Amino acid sequence: MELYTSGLPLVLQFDVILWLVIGCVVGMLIGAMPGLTVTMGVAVLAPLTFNMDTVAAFALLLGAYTSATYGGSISAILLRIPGALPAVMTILDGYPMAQRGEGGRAIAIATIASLFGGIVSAIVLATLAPALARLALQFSAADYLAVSIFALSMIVFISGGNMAKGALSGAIGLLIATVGLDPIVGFPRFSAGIPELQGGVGLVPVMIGLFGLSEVLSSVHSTATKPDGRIVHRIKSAVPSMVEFVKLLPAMVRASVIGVLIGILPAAGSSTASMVAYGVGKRTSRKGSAYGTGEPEGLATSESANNASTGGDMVPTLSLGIPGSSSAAILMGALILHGLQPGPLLFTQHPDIVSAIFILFLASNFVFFLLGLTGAGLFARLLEIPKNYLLPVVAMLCLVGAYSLQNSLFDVGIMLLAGIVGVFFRWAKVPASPLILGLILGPMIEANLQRTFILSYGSGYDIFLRPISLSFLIATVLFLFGPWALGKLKARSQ
Amino acid sequence: MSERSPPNSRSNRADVALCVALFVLVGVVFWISASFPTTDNLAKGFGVDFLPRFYAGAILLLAFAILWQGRRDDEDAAEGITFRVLARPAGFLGTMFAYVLALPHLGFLLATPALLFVLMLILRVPPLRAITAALGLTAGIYGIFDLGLNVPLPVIPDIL
Repeated sequence: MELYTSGLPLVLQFDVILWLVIGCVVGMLIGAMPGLTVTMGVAVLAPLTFNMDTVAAFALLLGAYTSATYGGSISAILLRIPGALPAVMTILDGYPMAQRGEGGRAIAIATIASLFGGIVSAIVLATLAPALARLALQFSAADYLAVSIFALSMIVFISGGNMAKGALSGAIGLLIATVGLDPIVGFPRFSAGIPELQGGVGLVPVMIGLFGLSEVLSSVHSTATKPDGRIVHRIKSAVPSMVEFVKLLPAMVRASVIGVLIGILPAAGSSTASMVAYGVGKRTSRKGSAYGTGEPEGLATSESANNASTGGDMVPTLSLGIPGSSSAAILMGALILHGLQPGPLLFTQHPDIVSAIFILFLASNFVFFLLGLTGAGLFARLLEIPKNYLLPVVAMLCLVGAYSLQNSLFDVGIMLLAGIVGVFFRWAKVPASPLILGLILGPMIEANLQRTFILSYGSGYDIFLRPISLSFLIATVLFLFGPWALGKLKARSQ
Repeated sequence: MSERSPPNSRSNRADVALCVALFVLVGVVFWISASFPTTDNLAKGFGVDFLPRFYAGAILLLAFAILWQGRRDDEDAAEGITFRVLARPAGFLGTMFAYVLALPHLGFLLATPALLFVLMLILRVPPLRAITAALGLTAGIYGIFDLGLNVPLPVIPDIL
C-alpha cells in the first residue's frame, strides 16, 4: 500500500500541480499540431527539467506525454490530419462525425475514451508492472514476428468494403517500408543515392500527405465552387449522456486491455495498439460493420487503446529499465539525469518517487480530460470557419508539420507526393489506413523475420515451436477465417 | 440470385490506371533489386532482396485480382474526373511545390504570406481579405511553431 500512497505528499504541492497542468496544455498543443510527435513533445520539454525538482520534472513530462497522445485526436477529428501517429485510426470514425456536424461530440467521446484507457493503464502500471515486464521479456524475435503478423491481419478489418484493395494498400506500405538501410547488413535499398532516404521513408510526412493533404486537394474544387461552405453544428451538448457512455463501455474495456498489452511490448507502439484494437473491435462488436462510417464506438475503441498503451509503455521502462518506445526512452533518460536508475531496484530504493510517478500518471489523465471536455465545443468551432479560409491553413499546417519533424524540406516533398498518392487512392477507392499499418509494421516484420531465421540457423521453425508465437499465429488464423468457417458450418447444419 | 451488373467503365478506368502504375512499380522493384548483394550466409534464402520482391509479387497478384474484380463489380465505381475538376487542385498543388522550391531562397516570412495569398485567391477569397488573412496567419504559424514550440523554420533567405 505504501507504494501507492507514499508519493501523495510529494505530488500535492502547488508547483507540482502547476507543472502538471502546464505539461498537459503543452502536450495537447503538440499532439494536435501535425508533424509534432509525442516523442518530440517530451524531448522538447526534457531539457527544461534539468534544474527542477524530480517530482515537478515528472509532472511536466508525464503531463506532456499522456496529453500529446490524446491531443493527436483533435486534429484527426476536425481536419483529418492525425496530430500524432497513434491517432491514425481516430480519423476513420472521428472525421465523418465532424463532417456530420458532431465534431464537439466526437472530441468529447475521444476525451472520455482516452481518460478511460489512461486510467486502466495507470492501474495496470501500478499493480502489475514488474510481473508484466518479466512477461514481455520472454518475447523472442519469433514472437514479435507472430505479433506483427497478427497486427497485419487487421488490414482485413480496416479495408472498408474491398479486401483486395485494402491488402494492396497494406502491401504498398510494406514495400515502402523496405526503402533505406536493410536492418541486418545495412545495405541501402531503393535510396537512389539520396542520403535522406537511407533512413527510410518518414512515416509522419506520409501520414500527413495521405490523409491531410489529400483531403485538402479533394475539397479544393467543391470549395471554390461553393466558397462559403462550412459545417453547421447539429448537437448542442458535446458531452455524451450516461446511457451512451454505458453503451461504449465494453468497447473501451476491450480496447484498453489490448492497448496495455501491446504497449508493454517494446517497439510495438501505441499506433499498433490502436490498429489491433480497432480490428478486433470491428470483428467482435455488434456495431463492427458500422466502424469507419462515423461510429462513436469505433472512435472510442481507437482512443482508449492508444492512451492505454502509454501506461503499458512505462511498464518495462520503470520495472526493467528497458524503454518501451522512444518517448519512454526520453522519460527514462530524465529519470537517470535526476539520479534515479530505472529497474527493479527503483521500486525498493525510491518507493516514494515511483508512487509519485504512478499518481502523476493517473492525475495527468484527469487534467487532459478536464481540458479536453471543456474545450470540445470550442475546438469544434474551428470547422465553422469558411472552407476557403480553412483549406489554405490546413495546407500550411501540412507543410510546416512535415517540415518540423526533422527540419527537412525533403520530408515536405515526401508529404506532397503522399498527398498525390492519397488523391489517387481516393479516386480508385483504395483505403489509405492499411498503407500506414504496413509502413509501421514493415521494419518490425523484416527485422524479426531475419532474426528468427538467423537464430534458428536458417530453418525458421521457431515461430511454430514457441508457445507465444504459435498462440498469435492461431489467433491470426481464427480471426481471419473463424467467422467464415462458422458461417459455413451453420449453413451446412441448416 | 441477384442479377450481375454490366462492367462499369469508370470503375475499370480507375482500376486500370491503378494497376498500370503498380505494374510499373513492380517492374522497377524487380529491376533494381536484381543488383542487391546475396546475403544468404545470414539467413538462407532471406537476403536483402527477399522482402521487397515478395511484397512486389504480392502487389502484382493483388493488382490482377483488382482488375478481375473490376470486370465483375461496379460497387467501387470511381467518380469520373474532368479537366475542370482537376484544374484547381492541380493549381493548389503546383503552388505548394513552388513554395517548397522558393522557401530556402525567400525565407519563411516572405514565402508563406505569398503562398497563402495565392491559395486563397484560388479559393475565391477577395484579394484584400486574402492579403490580410495571409499576413495574420503567417504571424500566427510563425509564433506557434518557431517562437512557441522551438521549431527552427527557415526564416532567413539564402540570399542573405
